[in-house]
Amino acid sequence: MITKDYIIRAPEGIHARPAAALVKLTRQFKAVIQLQKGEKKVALNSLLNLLSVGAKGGDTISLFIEGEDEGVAADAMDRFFNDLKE
Amino acid sequence: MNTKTRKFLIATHGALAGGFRSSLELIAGVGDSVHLLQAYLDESSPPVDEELARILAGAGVDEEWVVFSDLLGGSITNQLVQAAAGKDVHIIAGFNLPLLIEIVLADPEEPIAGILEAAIGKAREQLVYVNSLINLKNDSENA
Repeated sequence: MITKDYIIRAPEGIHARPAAALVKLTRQFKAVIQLQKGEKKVALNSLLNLLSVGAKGGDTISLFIEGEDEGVAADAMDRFFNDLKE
Repeated sequence: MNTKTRKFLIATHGALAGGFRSSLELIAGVGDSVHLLQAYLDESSPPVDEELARILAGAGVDEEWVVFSDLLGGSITNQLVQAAAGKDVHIIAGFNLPLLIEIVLADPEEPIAGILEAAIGKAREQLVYVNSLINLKNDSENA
């Protein structure tokens, strides 16, 4: 399993449009990807899971990536969160 | 595992369905994946039962349909129930945008019944009186 930590740099946090993009990205991989903020941990296969976390600009979140293509998935998550600025 | 092609229909009184599709496209980029039935828009609109029969003709063979209707007890939902009889059609009345997005983005290989049950539960949580939520948060911070 790969674990990654990110600081959300987009001022509006993970709102509807980036959340939808993240769910669509997650679906491209066989790996199970979970996101944690504080004590709340959710699977990234659901937009409503993701919105329920309420990740705001400046928050730190962790990703847990597990599965046969976890390396590729982790690289894609790196690109996504590094590019998330709006 | 689901092997049928999953299709989506939004059926509403008037142009509401088109508005939902516009929002779906803006947020998730998948507006083209849903069909529309905007009933009673004008006198030239075809009868709802005929439109439903045409749209849902392939349901049950190689297709499963998820239909979002606006009002439980409304004429469109009532006609949907008749049009869906014996077919692989799943009707959700009183839907909201969170539910629509959640279901359209769901894994098409996952069985639909489980997706719908989970999504409806989560979408209900999105119906919130935000002022009360803010007051609750302020109260807890000031306590």
